[in-house]
Amino acid sequence: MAAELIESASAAAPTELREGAEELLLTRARGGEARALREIYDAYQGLVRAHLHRLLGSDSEIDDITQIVFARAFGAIDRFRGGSTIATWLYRITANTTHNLLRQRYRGARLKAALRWFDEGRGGHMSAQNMDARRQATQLLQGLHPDLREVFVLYHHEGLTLHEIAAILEKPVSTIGDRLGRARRRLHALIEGAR
Amino acid sequence: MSAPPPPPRRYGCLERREDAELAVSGRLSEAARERYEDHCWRCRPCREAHELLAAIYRGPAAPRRQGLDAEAEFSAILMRVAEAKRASVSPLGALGLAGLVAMALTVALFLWSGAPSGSPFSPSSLAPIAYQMPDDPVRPLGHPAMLYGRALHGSGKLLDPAQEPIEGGAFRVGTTLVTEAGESLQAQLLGRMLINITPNTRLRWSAIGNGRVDLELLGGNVAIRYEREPEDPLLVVHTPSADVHVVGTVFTVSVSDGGDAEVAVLRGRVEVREPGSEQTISEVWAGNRFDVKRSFHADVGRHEVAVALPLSYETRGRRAGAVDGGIPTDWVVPGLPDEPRLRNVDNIVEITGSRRQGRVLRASARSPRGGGDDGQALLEMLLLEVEATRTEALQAELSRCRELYLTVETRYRAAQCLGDLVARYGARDQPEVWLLIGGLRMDYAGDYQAAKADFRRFLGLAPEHPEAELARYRLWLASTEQGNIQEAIAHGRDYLRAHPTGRFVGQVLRRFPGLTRELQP
Repeated sequence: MAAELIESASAAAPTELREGAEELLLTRARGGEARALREIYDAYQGLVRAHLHRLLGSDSEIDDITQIVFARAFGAIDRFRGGSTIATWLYRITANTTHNLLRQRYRGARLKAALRWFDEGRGGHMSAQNMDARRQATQLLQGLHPDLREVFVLYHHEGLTLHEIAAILEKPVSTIGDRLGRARRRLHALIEGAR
Repeated sequence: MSAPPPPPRRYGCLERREDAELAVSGRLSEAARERYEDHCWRCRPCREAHELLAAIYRGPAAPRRQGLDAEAEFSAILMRVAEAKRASVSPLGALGLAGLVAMALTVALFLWSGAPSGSPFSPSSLAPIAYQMPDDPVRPLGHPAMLYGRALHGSGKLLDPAQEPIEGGAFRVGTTLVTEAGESLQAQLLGRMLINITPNTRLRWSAIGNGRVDLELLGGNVAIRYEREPEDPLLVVHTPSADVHVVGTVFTVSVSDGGDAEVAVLRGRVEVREPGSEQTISEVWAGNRFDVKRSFHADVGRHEVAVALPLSYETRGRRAGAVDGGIPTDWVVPGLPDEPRLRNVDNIVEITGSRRQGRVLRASARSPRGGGDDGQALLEMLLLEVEATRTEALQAELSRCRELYLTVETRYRAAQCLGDLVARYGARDQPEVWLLIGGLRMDYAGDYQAAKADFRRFLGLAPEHPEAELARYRLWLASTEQGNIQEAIAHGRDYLRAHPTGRFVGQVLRRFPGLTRELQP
């Protein structure tokens, strides 16, 4: 059973570029070569889109936000000194772009859950019987505080290390570790509550 | 003779729960995994919990691009980059030296003629809109008719730059649209932008050119719907406290008498920037309202929807509303049901303070149903019920934590219980939580500083609480045990003054006999 459970989180791994190629590509992009920008977009749009999907769930605005992320990246490519990989840099831009949105949605979702709670009784926000595990999992993740969700998704779904996440979110590694622990505990509690 | 093998360890739901994460990530030993799987096979709730945890750790499948193909999306991204660069280039830079001179003259003339008294705009905040209109304003606005605006419905005044009334419905850049009490006006700009102007509002179409259209809201409230195509100009609404940059959306902007702006977005996204500096203050997404002065986000409410509702009608094949008073399905209004027949103004939840209540009443008066406000009353009742249920659950949880706290053997579990309670409900409604947490911090962690902060928070929230005496005593005790004698004397004095016949008077006086005089009349 465990084998089937350990489905790789890297199913949607992007066509990332090798180190040397990345440096070359960045130099061309900084020089204003549109083809280089297109190559960056082709290589990483899947990564950005998948990350947004994991963070926000199924959402009609993901295409729009993907465009915003790349527009911001391309707009600031002159200032990117290559201190990190392009993927890390794009994760950071995605985190900054979705920061407010995640919090606004979290508040809205809580109000909706409260209203549904009244309609269907305690636990009505889950209605576990009518939902498959995948949908329920998505919903549980959305119930996680944005700060915790961000770290959980980056660590478990994107497969990044604590140090990489710390660089993306510009927080100390200890904070990231603490958030990850809290996210796991909270998810366990939510799961037990949903049963 | 060899020793008998140890009895097999019991493996129940608790053990399964402890191993769950290791099992999901494939880090469980062979033997443990067998026990784990065996238990899951026998216990249905554990099996379901395991499947759920596995689904969470696995994450959702990667999505496919929904709308545009890669080519179109990449073009749209480049377009956005170009727009952002255009927006970040100041008008001064774009116009060069000649523009600089023209702008200086414009500002000088403005200052010389004197700004209208009581105008919330200072000369500095006019800077972003002071450039001249170029001869060839915006490429996509090829047809000359698109450079005109039109008043469509309603009543109000159109004033030209010299503040003279304009006859007829068509107007050009520089026009101010004015409504007095009891008047409202709908206007169209560029053939794509619909504006609903509410009573007591002054809106000026200040500029067009360099890929953008500039409006200036001097006071009042407007709702704007902009069906923007990628090549269309950007829209910027200037207010005294912020500039609102719009890519394409439905939103409202209001400016109070004091010049404070508030932006609410129903569809799409807008960016609120600092006037002059172009620094982004905040992004506002659909379903949210942003108060610029307080830098505060909240959900959109009835008022904003009621103001924008006249702008909803069938667009691009989408069913939009207006005819039956319905709110379009693509507008984001938190708390509003998705069921189309329930999407009306009466079903919007309003749960904020008195300022918002005033708006709700006005919005209700304009609602298509008219008359009473049964929908709002029902929703308020529902919310009260939700609140009552929540309070009940919170009380039950708190009493469980209190029970754990009372016995020394279980007190360590009270910490977890209280932590969960604060995470789930917050502690605003139950100040006692702070007292208990403070006690735990003091007794177990020896963290007197944090404990004192908790006791103070408790006393600040509930100075008349039956346990306030205990909190004051604990505050004294924490200072004493910390060795902060001056503070301890002060807290001891506070305690004796508030509870001269209290339970802990003897203990305070035994430590600080000098405080006896506090008890003398």
